[in-house]
Amino acid sequence: MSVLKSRVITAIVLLALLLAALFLLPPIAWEILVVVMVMQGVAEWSRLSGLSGRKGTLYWVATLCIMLTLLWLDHGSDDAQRLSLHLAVYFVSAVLWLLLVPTWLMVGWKVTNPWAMIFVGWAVLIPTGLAMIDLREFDPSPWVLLMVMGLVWIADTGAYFAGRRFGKNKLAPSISPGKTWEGVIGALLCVSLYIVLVWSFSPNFVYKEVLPGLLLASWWWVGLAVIGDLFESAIKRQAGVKDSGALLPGHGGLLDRIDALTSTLPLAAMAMLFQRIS
Amino acid sequence: MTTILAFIGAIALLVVFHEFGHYWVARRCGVKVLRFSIGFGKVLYRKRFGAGETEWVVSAIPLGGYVKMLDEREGEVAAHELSRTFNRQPVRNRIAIVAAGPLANFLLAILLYWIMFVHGVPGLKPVLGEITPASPAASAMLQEGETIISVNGEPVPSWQELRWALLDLALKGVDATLIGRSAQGEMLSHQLASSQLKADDMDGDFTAKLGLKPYQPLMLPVIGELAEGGVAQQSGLQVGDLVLRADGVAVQRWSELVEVVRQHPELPIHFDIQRGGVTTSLQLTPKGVDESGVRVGKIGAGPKVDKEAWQALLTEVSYGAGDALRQALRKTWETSVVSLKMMGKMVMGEVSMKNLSGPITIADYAGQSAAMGVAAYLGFLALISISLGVLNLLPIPLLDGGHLLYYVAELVKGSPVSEQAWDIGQRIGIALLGTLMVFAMFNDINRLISS
Repeated sequence: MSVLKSRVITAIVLLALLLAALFLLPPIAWEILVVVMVMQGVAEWSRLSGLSGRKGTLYWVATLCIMLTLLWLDHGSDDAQRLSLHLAVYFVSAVLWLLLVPTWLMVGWKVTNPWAMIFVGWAVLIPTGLAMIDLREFDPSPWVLLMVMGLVWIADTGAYFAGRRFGKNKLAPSISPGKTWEGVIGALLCVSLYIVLVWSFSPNFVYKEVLPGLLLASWWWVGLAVIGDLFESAIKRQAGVKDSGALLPGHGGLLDRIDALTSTLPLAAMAMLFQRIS
Repeated sequence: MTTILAFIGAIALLVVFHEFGHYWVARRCGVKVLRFSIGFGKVLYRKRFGAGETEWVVSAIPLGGYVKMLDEREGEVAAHELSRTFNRQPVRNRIAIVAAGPLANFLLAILLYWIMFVHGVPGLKPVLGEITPASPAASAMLQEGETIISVNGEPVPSWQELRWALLDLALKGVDATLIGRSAQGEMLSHQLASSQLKADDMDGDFTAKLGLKPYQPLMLPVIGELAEGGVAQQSGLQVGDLVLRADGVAVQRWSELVEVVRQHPELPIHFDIQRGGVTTSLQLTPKGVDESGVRVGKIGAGPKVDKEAWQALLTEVSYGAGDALRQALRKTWETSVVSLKMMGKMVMGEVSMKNLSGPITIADYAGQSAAMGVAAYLGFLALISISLGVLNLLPIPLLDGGHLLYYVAELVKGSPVSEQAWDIGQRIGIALLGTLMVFAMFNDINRLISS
């Protein structure tokens, strides 16, 4: 089977499973699913970080403890406490994606210190998990989460096909030779069309004049998704592997599939929480 | 599927118009246009008209289009055609050619709005709802149920027009003389102190600041709709049920019922209802939902809407050619300004979900009743066209605005900006935008901590 074919089939199966989970699972089951995904991500991350054997197990268990503690705190606290807790978690993610990673990519750091990798792994995965739980609760539930994830998938898909068809000018040859500027432009165009479609068919936008602002914001989002994508490539390159794992036929590991989500979902959740406050 | 195809067709039309703006001005400036393409990527169909020098092309990906002009940066140009290249045009010509795209979008929007206004737009009659106490409207002795006929001699056929007329006067700092007809048919005259409004009040819901709200028919607490699988349905509420008391409180209006439900997230409420002349009671527990940081109750039921009462409030306003043009210009301008303001607020993190979305308002009801109408479709196209124009005037790399900025810099400097300087400028721009975003974020966090 060609790579593209198995890639498409896996994508369809995954999408169907995810949609079913998204719409049908009760909150607690969704939380468990998210924890499982984070744990799979951590397993792949520790491999990329060169944490093996006991160290890897320790990291895995420590992450599980953090996730469970977070959820436990969540259920036991009132709205205001929960809000500050979540904002703190997303803040870590914002610092990572808006300051640290752009610098990292520009300078081309090699990180060999295992502690640095441990903390970055947490900053990548834990806020993403929390965002998947938070965004699912926003009204209209679970559409907000689906729309945000949809945006990232559309960007991914648009970039993949535009890159394959028109790809010429490399985006970051030293990090990921497969990515091109043409791919980014394809992603921007597809996302723009997606936004216009969502905007025109969703009854949730009362002020229709918001369209240019939405488009602009979506372009930012694509930029952020590209950064997330590149960052994962940089980490894989540093570890000397092509895929983060072999979980999903045609897609590599879980991290390969959710790389662009790790940079976008926490910031989307943060933006939504801010809106709730104001 | 048809909707999506029609939709892509509409976007293609807007893009074609945009590109045609570039094309037309380029030709006027004497630039040789090599190709006009609808869509991009692989060429599917090409045609040349007679001995025309432009090749008209339809390409595979219908998400855009382009105009290819003779340009030395893109290939060798024969000596005798050098004067017809884009890059050798004086800078003001280049500005005109680039700006023509977005301007064409604004022109198209004006045209679409013009057709819409000539054809007739649904509107809300200018009937006043409850007057806010201690507001300018209350001082002017305006009454609930009064229909406003004219403002300073200008007739106002719809609520929208009333709003515009008042906004105009407020901007000029002039008080308004309103002529109205009371519910009993008396003619009344009022002096409304519209000049007292401050600039801040003119954003957002401007009429509310004056104490004016559109009239809404009384909505009884009668169940009109039930969400599938919602609390109300599961607890045995049925369409047509009249709620008499909720939690022991007598409810007369739908809004009162909503208030009781909202105050009981995940707390049981006892309902007394009347169904087919029989009074019964049932208990239900609203679902708790987070709304703007507050936990509120929802039961998944909608009111029975008295369609006729609403219909009586709707009107269709159409205009003569001249008035319609004035309205179209105004509407295009207003939409552009609101779009930019919204964008600014989004960048500064000030926009709340309430600005982006909200419960269905009276204006939506008016809009929805014509959702499938010609006017709505024209307005929709015009709005996308304006969005395309606004975005393309912003200084964003790759878009027209990015090029315009470059040419404006050239105009100021007197000589072309070197590519290197441009590259650095762009990086600084992106860094500034990034900083702005980080700043906005810290601003939010600061607000959060201080509250």
